[in-house]
Amino acid sequence: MKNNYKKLLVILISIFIAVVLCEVFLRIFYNSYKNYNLEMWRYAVELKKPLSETKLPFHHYSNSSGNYYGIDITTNSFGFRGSEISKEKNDSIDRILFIGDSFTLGWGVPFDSICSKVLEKKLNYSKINYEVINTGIGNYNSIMEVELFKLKGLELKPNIVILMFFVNDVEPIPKVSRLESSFIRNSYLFAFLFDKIQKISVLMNKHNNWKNYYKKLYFNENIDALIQNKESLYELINICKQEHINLIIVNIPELHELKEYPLNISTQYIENIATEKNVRFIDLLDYLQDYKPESLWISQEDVHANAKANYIFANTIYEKLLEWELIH
Amino acid sequence: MEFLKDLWGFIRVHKKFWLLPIIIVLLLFGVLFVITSGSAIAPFVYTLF
Repeated sequence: MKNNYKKLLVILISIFIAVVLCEVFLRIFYNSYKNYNLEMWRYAVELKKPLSETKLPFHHYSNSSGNYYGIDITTNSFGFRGSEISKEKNDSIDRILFIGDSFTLGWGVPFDSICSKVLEKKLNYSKINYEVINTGIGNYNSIMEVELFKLKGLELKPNIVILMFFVNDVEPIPKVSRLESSFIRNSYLFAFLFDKIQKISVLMNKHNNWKNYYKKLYFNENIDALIQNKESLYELINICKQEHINLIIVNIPELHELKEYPLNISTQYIENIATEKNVRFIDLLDYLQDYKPESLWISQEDVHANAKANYIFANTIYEKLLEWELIH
Repeated sequence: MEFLKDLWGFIRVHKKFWLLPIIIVLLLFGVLFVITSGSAIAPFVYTLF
């Protein structure tokens, strides 16, 4: 019996040594195999600060920076990507606040080329009249975006708020468990396994693809999250009305297939809310359909909007702001 | 394959069975490392992190 325990102990120690070896190997050679999933994991570990709020489980660390997917992301004292901003607003300058997720943040896009920055440059071409603030955070959904707006955006007294809606913004709020705050947050091996398992499951199951995943978000199995999402969007609309803030909802299409767009269910969802509540709405699909989808991606494995797509976003929003006479 | 046979022979003769878990884990790791590497599969905008 004692001998059996000894054998078991030896096996466990042996497995532990093997796992440690894998972890060390992955850390040393990270640069040679890093990819989208792994860079997203590193971004989450290094730049996202866990919070105790139910509706806002994490936020960016203030005054932090890192290089992810080859691009520098630097946060200011508010935890937003960009240079420092003053809490007090200069009366001669109008503020435009972007709220959204990684597309708004500008994942994989140099700071000078992200939509909010390009728009700011266009608006201030002849004279500095506008300050554009980007509150986008990776993996935020609409509920979290609205919570962050209430927490940090409102006090900045924006004149215009632009909600950048993406198809996965109706996902449930991600849970940051204790496990995630220790093992997942620190193990390269975990991130590596997650990446591999996700890819193998895609190869093994043809139904496990982006189209099915996103479509499912708009059906009964996600009904609770959909209800919460709608309530949050209504809350944002009401706050903006009360505070006399011009709200614009912008729909960012999923960038895999633009000609015969397969996720109209998502566009209809957000457009219906905008129409019902009389909010200005822009569907960026109308301005992207003529482009080859791949030409708008960060990379072949990452369909986030690249600099070219961000420029189109900014240009479209600029033209609409002029058309609606929201800028002068 | 010949290498694996030799390795098993070594472990059996010298009774170094404690090496087996290390070898199995490293082999699995190696297989995982090779599988899907270089392929551009990223089905969703991340769902976990």
